[in-house]
Amino acid sequence: MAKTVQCELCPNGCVLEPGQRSRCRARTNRGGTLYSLVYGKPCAVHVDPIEKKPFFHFLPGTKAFSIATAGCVLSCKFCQNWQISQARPEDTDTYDLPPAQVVSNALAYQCRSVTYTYTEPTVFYEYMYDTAIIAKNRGVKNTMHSCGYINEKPLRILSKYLDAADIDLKGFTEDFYARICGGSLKPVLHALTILREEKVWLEITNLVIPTLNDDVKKIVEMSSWIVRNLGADVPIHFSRFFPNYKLNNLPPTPLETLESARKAAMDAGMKFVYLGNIRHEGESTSCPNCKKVIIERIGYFVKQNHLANGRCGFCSTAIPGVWS
Amino acid sequence: MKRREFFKLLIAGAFLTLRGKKSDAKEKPKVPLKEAMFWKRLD
Repeated sequence: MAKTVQCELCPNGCVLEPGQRSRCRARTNRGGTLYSLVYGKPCAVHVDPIEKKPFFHFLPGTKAFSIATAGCVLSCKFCQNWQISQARPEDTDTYDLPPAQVVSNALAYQCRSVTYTYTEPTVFYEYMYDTAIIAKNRGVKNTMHSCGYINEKPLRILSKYLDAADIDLKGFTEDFYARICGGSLKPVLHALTILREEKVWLEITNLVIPTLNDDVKKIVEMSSWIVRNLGADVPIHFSRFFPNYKLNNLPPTPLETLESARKAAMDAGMKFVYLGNIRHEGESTSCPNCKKVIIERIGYFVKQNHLANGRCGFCSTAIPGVWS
Repeated sequence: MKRREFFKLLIAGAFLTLRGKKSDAKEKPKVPLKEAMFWKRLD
């Protein structure tokens, strides 16, 4: 019997002989069967504000029970969590936390949602999937922050249990994905459209890195693509880059660059454009109709919320999102 | 407190601490290795 296997979870499509490990480090071929090495073994477990994910149109001001295991399908040179995303599971300190216990803990800590985050949730798909089913049955919502580098079938199956996804759209050229992330742009765009089709609440994060992906023309192109293919209502977060991992040679993103990106996206038709990793008025949600601030944020914290039943508290315009 | 009594307490404390940790480890739930979803055998 053949003992070579191929993983069909992400576009990497790792072909593994017995004993070999997948590129994400979280899966291995043992005797002709593919196993997850991280099921029920998170290396990061925290209670975070949902705004940290970042989700700005999903249950604002609530807590998210957040978990991650070691491993990632990409290898971004700017990774902010490289100590765990680029590590083998056995090289991290882990908890034994089966799916049912994740949900029990989420409820005990009064979290409205479980978030699969920090590294790349795709690598702990089975753990995420089983947890998501239990969470849904117990009235806890499921969200993930992902790079969107996942094949269509697993994403569609997971989407039945997902309430929201924040996808990192790391750049808008194949060259950027190949050189800086070790991946490809096309599957990420496909994943975004699938999530929209499956009616999972969607937000997008773009880390703006000086000299690498801060070209305003590309940001206009990316924003126009989002408006055309996903809709103008999808919130986008332009995050400030800080030197990290293999990109310590670059400076933090200047405020002017972030403001230019924000303006470009708004000019392209996007209605909810935020800035992240920086204190700025761009952290708050304004009504696209009356322009008043509906949700005022400082960092991850909601200072004021003038939303009433999903509508602007000043002019009653419906604001897209998951609010209750 | 006499020196002898102090050392007795110290040893007893260390013994109980180590014993406690050992029993905690035994109670940790073991999560078995999970077969992955979405893969195929190649001929």
